[in-house]
Amino acid sequence: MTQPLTRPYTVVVIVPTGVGAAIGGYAGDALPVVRAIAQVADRVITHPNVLNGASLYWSMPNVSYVEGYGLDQFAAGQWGLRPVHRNRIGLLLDQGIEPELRDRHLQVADAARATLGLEIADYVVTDAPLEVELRTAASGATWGTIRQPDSLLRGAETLVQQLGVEAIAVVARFPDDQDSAALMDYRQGKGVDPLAGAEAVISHLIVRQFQVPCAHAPALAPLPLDPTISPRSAAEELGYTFLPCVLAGLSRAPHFIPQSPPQPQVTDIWAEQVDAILVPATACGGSAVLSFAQSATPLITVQENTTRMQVPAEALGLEAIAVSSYLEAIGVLAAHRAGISPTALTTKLAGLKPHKERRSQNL
Amino acid sequence: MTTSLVSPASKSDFVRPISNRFRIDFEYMLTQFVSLSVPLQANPAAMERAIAQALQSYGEPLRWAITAVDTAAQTAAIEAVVTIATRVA
Repeated sequence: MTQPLTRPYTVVVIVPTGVGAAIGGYAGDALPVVRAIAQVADRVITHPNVLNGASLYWSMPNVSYVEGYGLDQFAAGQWGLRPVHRNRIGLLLDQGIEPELRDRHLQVADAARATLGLEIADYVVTDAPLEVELRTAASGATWGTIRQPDSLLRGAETLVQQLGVEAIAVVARFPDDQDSAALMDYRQGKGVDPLAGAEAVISHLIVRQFQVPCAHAPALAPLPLDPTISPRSAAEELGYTFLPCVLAGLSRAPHFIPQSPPQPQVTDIWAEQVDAILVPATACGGSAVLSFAQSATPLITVQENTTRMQVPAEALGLEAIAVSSYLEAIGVLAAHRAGISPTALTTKLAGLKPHKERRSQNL
Repeated sequence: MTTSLVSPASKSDFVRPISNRFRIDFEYMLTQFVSLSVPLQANPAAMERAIAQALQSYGEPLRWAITAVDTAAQTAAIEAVVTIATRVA
């Protein structure tokens, strides 16, 4: 899609994690949105929650897999992104994972090496069980904490310092709660992903500390077959682990670089190169959106993608292009990229009016 | 790979220059969930600063979001996870 003498048209797609997004709140079910946007943009930057479909994934050369904490720093202009051809991935396993479940995850890593040709270093087991705790907040969003974050970070330090990995895939043992209403709703494509908030905390901790690409896959006991589950959640019912998509995403995730890097490269990406940002209409209260809102980057809000959040752009005084669906958003992006005002594609094109000069009342 | 950079003073406390890479300078760390309310600000930059300042009293902000806005009261509801670390002496 790149044309000579034009800068790459770059779109950031955000579907916040653990807020019950109708599209993207389940098993990588915003991936079709990104696949379509990747056809009208030169570059798409998005985060693992959007792209991870457990055993399903779709690798695209113009889509960057950027963990949420890193995406926030990128949006703030503090970190840049440096595309790479491949990463040497380190696998960090929670000591709390039972031996059989651990073997299932190690087999995924071996399969990714043999079948996909990914470069995966030896694995590290944390020096204590991480003890993930899930929480649903008053807003309806899921959050979570881990009791042993220092153990998580020591394991990541070993991977980075001793094994020289360039990206980290974490697998933490999450509590099995097979009879919970939240899980049953999730499998039916309703409600909020009960695990998502805690997953984000885990990957944020590592990215904040080590500034390397990171993503998380929960280790859970297999669920009994339910023939009625929603297509939006079905990708997580296909295997014993959620790890394949994480390894595929991390294998080419861009590196984080500091401001004024010692050896800048023409392919480095910075926040000021972003041409548009897409978010669900009610979820404009995240760090990345507030950072981009301080620039001239158009904010496109998608009404159809409902969430549990109650923060529309206007509540924060943000200017936005409101669209009803991702299909409409893709049209706006295509028009914007072509330098065409979206209004010109509608019946709302009014005639020009003479400019009325504003005069101060004090004059 | 370690680089030494200083964050511009005008940026919020959330932004983090790449530094201290690969080094852990604490013994213990806790993660804690925080819910609070912050007065609405005139612009996004001021909003980010206000949230950062409010969260700093609980720990180091890791993840946060404005989850609702009360336009009558002119406040924003914030949910966050912060970390609290015991530093190495």
